[in-house]
Amino acid sequence: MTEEPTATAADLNQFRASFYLLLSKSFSRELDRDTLKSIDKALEALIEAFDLLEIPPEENFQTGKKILRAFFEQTRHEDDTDVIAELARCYASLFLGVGSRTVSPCESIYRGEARRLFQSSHFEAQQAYREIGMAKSEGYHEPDDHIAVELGYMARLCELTQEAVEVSRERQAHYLTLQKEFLEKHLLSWIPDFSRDLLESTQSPLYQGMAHLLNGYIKADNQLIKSMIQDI
Amino acid sequence: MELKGISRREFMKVAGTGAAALAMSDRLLVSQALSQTVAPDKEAAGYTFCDACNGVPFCGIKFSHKGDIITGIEPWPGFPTASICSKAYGTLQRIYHPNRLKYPMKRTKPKGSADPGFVRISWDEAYGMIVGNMKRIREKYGPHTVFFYVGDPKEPRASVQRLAATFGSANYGDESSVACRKGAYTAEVLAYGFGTTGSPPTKETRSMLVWGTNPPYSGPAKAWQNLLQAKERGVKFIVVDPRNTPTAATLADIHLQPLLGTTAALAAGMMHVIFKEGLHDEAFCSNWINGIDELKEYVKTFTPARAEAITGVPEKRIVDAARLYATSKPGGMTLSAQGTTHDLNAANNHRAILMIPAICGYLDVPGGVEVPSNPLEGFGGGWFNGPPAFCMRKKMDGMSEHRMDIKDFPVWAKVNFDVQANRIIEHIKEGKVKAFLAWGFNMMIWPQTHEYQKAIESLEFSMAVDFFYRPQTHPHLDLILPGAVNYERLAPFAVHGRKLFGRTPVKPLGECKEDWQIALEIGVRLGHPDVFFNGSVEGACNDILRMWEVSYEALRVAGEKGLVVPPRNPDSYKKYETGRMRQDKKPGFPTPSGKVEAVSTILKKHGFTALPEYKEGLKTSKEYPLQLLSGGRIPYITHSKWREDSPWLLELENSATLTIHPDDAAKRGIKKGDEVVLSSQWGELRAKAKPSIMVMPGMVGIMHGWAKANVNELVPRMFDPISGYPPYKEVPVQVRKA
Repeated sequence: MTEEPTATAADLNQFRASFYLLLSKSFSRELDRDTLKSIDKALEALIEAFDLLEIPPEENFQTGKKILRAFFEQTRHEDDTDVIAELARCYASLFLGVGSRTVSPCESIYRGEARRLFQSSHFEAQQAYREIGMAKSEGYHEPDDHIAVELGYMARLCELTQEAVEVSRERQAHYLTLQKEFLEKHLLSWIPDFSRDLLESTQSPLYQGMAHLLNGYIKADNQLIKSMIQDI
Repeated sequence: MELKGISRREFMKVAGTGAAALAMSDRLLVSQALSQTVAPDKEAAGYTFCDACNGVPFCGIKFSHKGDIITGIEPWPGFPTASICSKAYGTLQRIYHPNRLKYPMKRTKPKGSADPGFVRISWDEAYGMIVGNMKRIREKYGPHTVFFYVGDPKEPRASVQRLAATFGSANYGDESSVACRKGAYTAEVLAYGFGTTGSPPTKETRSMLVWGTNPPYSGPAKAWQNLLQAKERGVKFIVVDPRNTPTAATLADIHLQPLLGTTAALAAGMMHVIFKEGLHDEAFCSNWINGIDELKEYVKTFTPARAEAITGVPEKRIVDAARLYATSKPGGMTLSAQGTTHDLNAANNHRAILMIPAICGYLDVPGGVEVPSNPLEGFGGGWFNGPPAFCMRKKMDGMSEHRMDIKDFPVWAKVNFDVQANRIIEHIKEGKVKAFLAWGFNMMIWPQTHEYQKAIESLEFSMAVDFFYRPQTHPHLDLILPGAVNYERLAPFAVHGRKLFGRTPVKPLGECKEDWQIALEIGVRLGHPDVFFNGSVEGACNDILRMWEVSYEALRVAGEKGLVVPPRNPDSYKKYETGRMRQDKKPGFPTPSGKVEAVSTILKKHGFTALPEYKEGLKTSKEYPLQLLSGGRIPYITHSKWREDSPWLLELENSATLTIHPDDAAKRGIKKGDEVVLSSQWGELRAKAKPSIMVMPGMVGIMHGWAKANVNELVPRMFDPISGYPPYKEVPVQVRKA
């Protein structure tokens, strides 16, 4: 009997790229009908994949999973026009300056004492993107250290790691190391606080769920990357 | 973590579905050509102007930037205003404040809802809403029912006037229509024929009358330095201010502290002395003051004793001040842009002050109240008004019968092209206003703010441009547009005398647009691309700059030094003798009589008190025994700006603070930092007490603009009949510990 091929490192990186992309899309702008539907489908699939990997349950991730599953359960059968409209109001209230408490999804706000945009984190992120030959799209009018862009960068690094699996261990290690560095130096340094602020500022189950999920995922992924580096 | 043992098929079925579900399009990161060695953005220098106070000084800022990100600021070397203050540094915190509006936002829930439900829309949709409503409302109700308003910054006034005129509305107004400058300006025009709050002291100046203004707190640094240097040269200062301000403490040879609202009585008392002792300029008075005999007759009754009884200023001081000013020749003056017009006798109170240097013969003499010899042609009133040609002033004048203020405030309407906006509630009820388009708008400017909020909420369409969401204003509107801050604006260029300076803006944050651009783009979409330069802000600026045969490109090339437009005539004085003051070039002042008007021709014509007479204002009572002086400036705050916009400045004073004399505080058991209730017949608020000798016994002070302690709710909707200004600085109040 031929042995069933096992999931490869490349598969795993592709999965991770998808998950980062999912998180990026949740924060990049208001959720439209198609994106919401995609997230609904992708979330289930990706959470199952996560389970398959037998990664030890991380509390925030589990909470987020629960809230989001309940949200999609309930809204799957509702008139999505109302759901989309309400989500747009939540997004605006949280991130676009019209709410009673704006939660800025940019690293500079959390890293700098001055609580201003476009501090050193923005330039550091910009430099990191440059080093892999990327730049933030001019059509996206947010800073380089906006959560969605930083998560998009992680997704791209995962894809590059995926491609590197066929090339060499050194190349694979290089991109995994970049991921580890960015996660530790950047994402992990501010996302826990951002998540907390988000939870305090919104009643929206979608955004609450995403806050938990995001927080939990980057912590779990940090462990995952360490294992993957060891395995090379 | 183990990958072995997980079947690929099983994993990919799950993970692959996920990947497919997420469209891999709409990427936020795109590839950059790897072959290009892109050096990190180096720091470069740029230039702009500060708009952090009232936007009139136009102080120069030199900034450093990396690409489109501002990294630091310093004073613009060699700029006419020479230095920048703490508020300018506050603009650094404002530009990258996380709460800045970046996108157009429209409401999705009905007006009156607790949450207006603002959501993001595109500029296309926003412009569609604006232009669609403008056209519809013009069609249905007429063009004059669309009201165009510029609050703060004042910079876009010219572009919005052009828009109003082209659209066909006679109703353009601004914050000066409500509370600032134009009330005083109206009085100045009635008295002299032109606006002036005085001029800086020169080598020739021997005395200065500083009335109702505290420049170290409210003016640009250079203005205060000028006064200090004059003091050092031995200039005599008469400072009139109920408060014991740094100006009074530092400069005053004689400090007069009148009760609020008694300005005209104090001025009359001083003039009484000047006439009685023959200290006036008899030749100027008989030749150049209309109604001089009536004025002399009127002030005869204001003996120093009577003046003291009304104003509370000791007789001797009134006499000494009058003598000092009239004998230290020539005397100049520095007035507040609006402080002395914040009571129910606003216009005549301010006119009374203006008579003093006039009877002394100090107008347009070297060192006196100097009038510019060579104002930049075609630019009368600076950006405060806007260049008349560009603003289509003639067209606006042609529509004046349709102004909403023409019946209520006819003198105002005669003097000012901007409408008096304080009775807009009534105009809305009468159906005269259906839409409100605003650039930089704060409803807290109005007395009994809640009544205006309600009225404007009832309009068919309203929009405002701003940097931040304003809970006192925006929930009552349909649309909010994100405005570019000063670093991000090209227009307008700066004009200091005859010197012009340009800016080098960075790209605005998010999808913000500068005010001029919004006005121009609306104009284009209304169907007038030529009139609005196809939306080009530089094109609009060049249209104005052409008057002086220069262009914005030339300003860029001139850089730090700016460009001088050479004067056409030599400087001269007593221009009323040589025909250099009037438009018709005849000798005289630009008034109907050709003279300074103690008896105002225009006021007489409209049935108002023609002399600058004293009129008793709002009286204190047992229930409300204190006088409220609201709006006295503190150096790091302007209006309602610089609260949340720049948390740095908020560190200096972070909530509504009531200044109260220690005696009045002690009587009420109030200590520093205690929460107190300030109340008037019309409203109340809570603030923190700050016992201070800055105020006199019997008087309290507080800044306006605190959203949670809006002092304007304590001010009644009562208006000076001539200027239409409310009594912000004349309300009887009581204070008690909370």
